[in-house]
Amino acid sequence: MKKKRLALASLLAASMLLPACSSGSGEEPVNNAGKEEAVKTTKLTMWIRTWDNLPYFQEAVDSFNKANPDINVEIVSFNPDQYNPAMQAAVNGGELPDLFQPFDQMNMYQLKENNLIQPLPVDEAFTKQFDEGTWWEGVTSIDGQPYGFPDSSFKDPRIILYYNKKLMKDAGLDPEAPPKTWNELYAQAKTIQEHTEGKSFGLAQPMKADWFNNVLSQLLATSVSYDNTFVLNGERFFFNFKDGSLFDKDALVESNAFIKRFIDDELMLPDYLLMDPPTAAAQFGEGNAAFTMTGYWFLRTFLNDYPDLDFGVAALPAKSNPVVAGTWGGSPNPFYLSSKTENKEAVKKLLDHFTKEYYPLLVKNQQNLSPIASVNNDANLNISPQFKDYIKLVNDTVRLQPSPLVRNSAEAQVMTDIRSQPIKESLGKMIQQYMSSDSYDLAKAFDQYGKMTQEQFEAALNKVEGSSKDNWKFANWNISEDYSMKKYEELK
Amino acid sequence: MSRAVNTASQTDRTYSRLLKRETQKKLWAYVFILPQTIMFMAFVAYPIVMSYVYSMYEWNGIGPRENFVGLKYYGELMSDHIFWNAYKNSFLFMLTTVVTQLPAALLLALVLNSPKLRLKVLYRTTYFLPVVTSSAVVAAVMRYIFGQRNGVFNEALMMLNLIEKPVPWLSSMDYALFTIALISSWKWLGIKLVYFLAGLQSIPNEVYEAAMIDGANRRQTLWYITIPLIMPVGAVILMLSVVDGLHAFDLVKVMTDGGPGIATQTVDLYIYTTAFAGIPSIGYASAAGIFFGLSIFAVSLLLGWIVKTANAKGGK
Repeated sequence: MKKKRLALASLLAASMLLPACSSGSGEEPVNNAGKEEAVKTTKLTMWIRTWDNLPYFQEAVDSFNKANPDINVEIVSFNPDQYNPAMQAAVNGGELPDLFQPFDQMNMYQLKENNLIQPLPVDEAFTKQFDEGTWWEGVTSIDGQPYGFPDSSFKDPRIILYYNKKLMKDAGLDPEAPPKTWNELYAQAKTIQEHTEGKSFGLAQPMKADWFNNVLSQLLATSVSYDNTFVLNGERFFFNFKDGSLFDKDALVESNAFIKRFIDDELMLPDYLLMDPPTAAAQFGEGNAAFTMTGYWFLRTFLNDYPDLDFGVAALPAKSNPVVAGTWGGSPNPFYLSSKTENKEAVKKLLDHFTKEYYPLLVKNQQNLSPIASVNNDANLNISPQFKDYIKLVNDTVRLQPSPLVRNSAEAQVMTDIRSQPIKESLGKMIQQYMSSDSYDLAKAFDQYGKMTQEQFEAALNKVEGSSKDNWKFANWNISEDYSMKKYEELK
Repeated sequence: MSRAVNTASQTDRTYSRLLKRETQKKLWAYVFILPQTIMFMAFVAYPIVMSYVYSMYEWNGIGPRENFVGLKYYGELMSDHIFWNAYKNSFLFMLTTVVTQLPAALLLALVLNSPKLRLKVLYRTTYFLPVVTSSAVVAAVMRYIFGQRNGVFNEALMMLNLIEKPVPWLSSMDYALFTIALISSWKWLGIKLVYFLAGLQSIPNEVYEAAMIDGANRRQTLWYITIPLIMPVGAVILMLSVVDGLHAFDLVKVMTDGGPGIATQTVDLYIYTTAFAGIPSIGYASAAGIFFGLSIFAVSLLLGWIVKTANAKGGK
């Protein structure tokens, strides 16, 4: 009896230690509309890190599940901060979802080398629907084979200027003539703030987030000089593709000095260092500032959440040349297909469904552009004048930049290596210190940062077999023009 | 003779039965501590040991650890001025919280322990409320209270003519860290208050009665009876406060995220950023964690000695 009790207690103790883990087989029985017998259903799981696009994916998935009772697609969404650790655990545990977005620890080539992904089950007719640049080496395709399904268009201006038309009109300014230059923005901000006697500030800028400070100053820096400019690709790449040099501080310092002028002259809405982009957007939405330079993704927020806000969108103001948002092709957060997924027919059906249902939802809801031009130009989609202006702005400012990966895929490892070096101090933090202090030497800090990144770049080039600095030089590069496949041919 | 043998054999049987019962008792004890032991090994001991291992590898947390770098990261850490800034910030934060929080908690505990005070439960609950409120909520609310524009704190100071224009309490490199430390002191005041109250209530009433008979006044009672007798408890509270103060993370993360610049970056936030922002550098973050952990261990040893000394004095 006692032995039995002991065994029972041991069993109880052991059961407490076992987590309630269960693994989906990928195929599970479900009851089919009133029938007794169970039908085998294919289950596909999608992991999403892009919250902005989530509702449209969900809507498209719901309609897909309804139309395909034999397939059950399940979406699992993550806070962007939680996505990397979750993917890390999934890779280590061998439990990758069927479709997943990129994560920082592994690039697409590494995913392929480790046999974690497989090509998308699509044909040429499918890929041809998309804009030129969508199937981009190292982002959505490898050696011409499509590997990543685009979540939206790669044409991404990142940060744009929003202006309050009512405040402009009240201050005697032309609401249809937003500022085009730095001086115009300063003058108009000052006029409006003085007119409202400080009730509304000239400019509201979020400066709490490191990445935001980086991106804004890089974009503004393109307007200082096209010769010493940068291509945006994460925090640590600031590249001049003409000569293969990695970092130039002068234009960045100048663009930050421009922002600081607003702080020094008290034209900036206070608490800028505590404001993240949504908070600054809310301040603009409430009419507490006449202008804000912030993410394009807030366009929808202003349209939906602030119906009384009379606002417009424009390209970022320039010092001399128009601002250029350099970009690589592909897609911001494509979906890769796990190599373990067996039912490719179900995946093909799902991707077809997304092109027909998800992309129009994206544009119709004024969330983002579709990677298929015909969807963006569909006159039947009832979109606002602001979104129409936004589409024009994208076409005017976003330009494809050269990619070393087209020449040699080994350069992907160079990028990963640079980014995996411990960050001592980010550019965004340096910018914050400059904005909050009169004595901080930004040029010196950027200089040190430049030396550090240059060393990391050289070290990565030496470390990665087959890489070469020559792959990073494009003599025929001009940041203000799209770098199409023809340009690569010209260099041969 | 046979009687004696019988008695001996009976004693043996009794002894053997007792031994068996004792063994079974012990076995049961092991069965009951088994889950906790396994949990401890899996979630405490294993991660600690592995962080030592990780600190010697260049590793992003995925795949096999192949690039052994030995003590390289410890060397880099010693010359990393961002780490030392975070290290200094952590200690400044801790000092500010300890210096402000402990005397305030003791004073409040003395007041709330007074037998004449009415509505004691209400006061205690009120002071304890911030402890049970989520740090994220406290941080979000405090951002507005200490905000430069329309911040309640600035408005109050201006009304009292103590300042002419709003002060950027959380956006200034000079004030931000101390402001967050004070907010943290306020948030965790209630728990220290409870500890002190427990300490005060453990002092026997007879001691106070004897002092009263001897003609001691309130100041003398406080100085010669309450303070010496509460010293052992106070030393433990000090140790807990120091260790808590060195682990500032949640309030800092939500309010300033270490900014402006790196003015409020603490070691915990530094480790988090290194381990999880962008491509993780688990090895470097582990090295920083181990070094900081050892520092806290050294401080705890010192405080342990203080506790021991205080106990010895309190016992006299």
